[in-house]
Amino acid sequence: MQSHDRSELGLLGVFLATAVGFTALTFDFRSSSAALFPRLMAGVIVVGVVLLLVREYLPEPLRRVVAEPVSLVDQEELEHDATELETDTDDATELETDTDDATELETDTDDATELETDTDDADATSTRAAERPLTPRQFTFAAIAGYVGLSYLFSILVATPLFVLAYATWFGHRRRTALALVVASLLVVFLFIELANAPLGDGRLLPGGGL
Amino acid sequence: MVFDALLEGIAIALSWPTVGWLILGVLLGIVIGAVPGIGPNLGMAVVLPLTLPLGGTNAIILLVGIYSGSMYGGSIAAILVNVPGTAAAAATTFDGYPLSRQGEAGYALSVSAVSSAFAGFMTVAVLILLSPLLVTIVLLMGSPEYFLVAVLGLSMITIVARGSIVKGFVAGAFGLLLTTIGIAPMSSELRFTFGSLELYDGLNFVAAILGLFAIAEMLKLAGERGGIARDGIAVDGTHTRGVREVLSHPVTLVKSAFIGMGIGSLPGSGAAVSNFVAYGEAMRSSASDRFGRGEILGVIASESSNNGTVGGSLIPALSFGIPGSGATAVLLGGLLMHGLIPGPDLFEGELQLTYSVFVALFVGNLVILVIGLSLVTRMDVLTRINTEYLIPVIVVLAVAGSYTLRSNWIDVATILVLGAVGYYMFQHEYSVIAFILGMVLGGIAEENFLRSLQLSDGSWAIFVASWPSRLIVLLIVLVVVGPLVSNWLRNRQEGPDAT
Repeated sequence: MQSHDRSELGLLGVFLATAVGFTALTFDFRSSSAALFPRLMAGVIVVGVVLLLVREYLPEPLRRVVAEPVSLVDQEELEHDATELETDTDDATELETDTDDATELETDTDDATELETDTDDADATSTRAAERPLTPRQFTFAAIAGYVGLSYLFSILVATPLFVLAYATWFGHRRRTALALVVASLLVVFLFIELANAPLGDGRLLPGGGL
Repeated sequence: MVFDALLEGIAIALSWPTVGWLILGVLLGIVIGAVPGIGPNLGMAVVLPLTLPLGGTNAIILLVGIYSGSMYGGSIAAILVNVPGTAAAAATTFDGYPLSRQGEAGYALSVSAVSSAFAGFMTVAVLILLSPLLVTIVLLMGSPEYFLVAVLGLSMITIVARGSIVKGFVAGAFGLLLTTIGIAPMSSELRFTFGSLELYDGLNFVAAILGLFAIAEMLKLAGERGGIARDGIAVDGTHTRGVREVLSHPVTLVKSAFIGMGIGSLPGSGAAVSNFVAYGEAMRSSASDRFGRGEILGVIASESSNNGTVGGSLIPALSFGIPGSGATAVLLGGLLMHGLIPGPDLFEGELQLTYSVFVALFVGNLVILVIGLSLVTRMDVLTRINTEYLIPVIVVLAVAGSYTLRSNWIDVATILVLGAVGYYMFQHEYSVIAFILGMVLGGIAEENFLRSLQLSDGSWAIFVASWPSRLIVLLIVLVVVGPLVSNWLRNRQEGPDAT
């Protein structure tokens, strides 16, 4: 099974586990009214998830209802029209470029050079990415998780510059840019402290000591 | 009573510092809309915790200002770099960008500002005129109707959103299920808290919004490369010609504004749809063959419709608590965060606040007009911001903002977990808006559901006992079954080969 499908299976697993777990817990409730709504919602989730899991084996009309998008507005048609128009626009722009003067040709050359640079950058990025154990997305999530963990232990104020520096270093930003990002994010933290009197200097291991 | 409330609303909206928050909101909105990759949902979500120290009125007016400003701001990137800053400006790229390539960026941007502002003026004026009727309808609603309206909202969002109807219902029900954590309404029993004090008040929907919009969006952006615009965009062209041009096409302007308002007032559909529909209508009714190559009518249609949508989408959001779009879902979160419950509360006890929001929207469009025409030549800088630089700052905003809500680490954990869940939901076309609606409306839906059953001694017949209930049930059936039937008919017409 492809990783794309596996991630959807994982998502459905989260939905199903939550629904089943919540339903099981409702049997300990003293009041039946407290249990009714969660059971109803969990029921909708379980039925939906099961239908989605077995969608490929359902009879064709039912499979369409379960698997295919239905919409009051035909999004596909809208997007198709949009793509067609974009193509027309591109054609028109190309035609204009053909007939335009040397200045525009120069601009195009600049654009082409920039595009080449972009391609070079993209190649460099992809080479760099190939050498790394994590994709940019995986790294971003891991960094956010680490940031949350550090914030819990030592406070958001302490964890913020560390998170931003780690992020900027991993993405290869220049030192000056990284510093500017640290300053900007610390300003955000102080904004919350000033405006909302938020205890962002508090952490489990650093109670009230971050400030 | 209504007229008095309107006068009071005008006084509130024009008082200081309220008008200052409005101007700040519109300016922030323009920036948020102009930077590709942010958009009103994310922008409003990260600002939400910062509104905690403000009073309810100022907070809502600030958020409405951001919403309205971002609708105009989206056109800046669309015109200058062919990348719509928001989905609401997608159709603006068709003619706005070719105009920019022809050296008329200033002209296109001024047309966009004038169309946006005029459409905003017109639709808000109609909204104010319609409000007495809305008050009457809203006051007819009781607990059963409220629960049914929540179901109707979820159904509509499920249908309009991308993905299958079953995926939409699963997403909505998952959101509703998560709201049952904490103290149960009516019985006050503790549910799913695992003995943790931090879960007694349940999950916070603002934290959920931050996770789903801010963290999930940043995960999406992290996989994309750097800035979108290239350097050297020149904003030239005549601005005064733009004003004259819009005024010389009143039919397209008025028609598109009200197409936007109409579509915006349907729960679940927003400016992402209305700008295409208005553009299509402008194309259909015009003899011009320049659409897609720099036809100014295309810019007028797209830009007036998306700002018209703002007023329209406030109708279901304020009257029934059903957001017309992601941005109104965040706005709804803001209302609830400040203790303002949509529905009879807003149209009876807080009518002056409702009017102040409408008036603020009116004034906000004036700000768009002034800013759009005066700062138009300096707007290109916004499109050059590298999104890679935005990611860490927005993550810090989300984490600090979520902890600020209640000084509860559960809220920070919520943004992390729901950020990941939201990212995969987006990847596999599960409606994130339906999920948010579930999270935002869960408490209200459950309370009205249980109260209805209590009133009827447990009989479910109460949900079809009155004519408004029957009408809503009929609408739910139509909304759920209608598209399925039309899909089936379309497939039948196309024959077996079509599939």
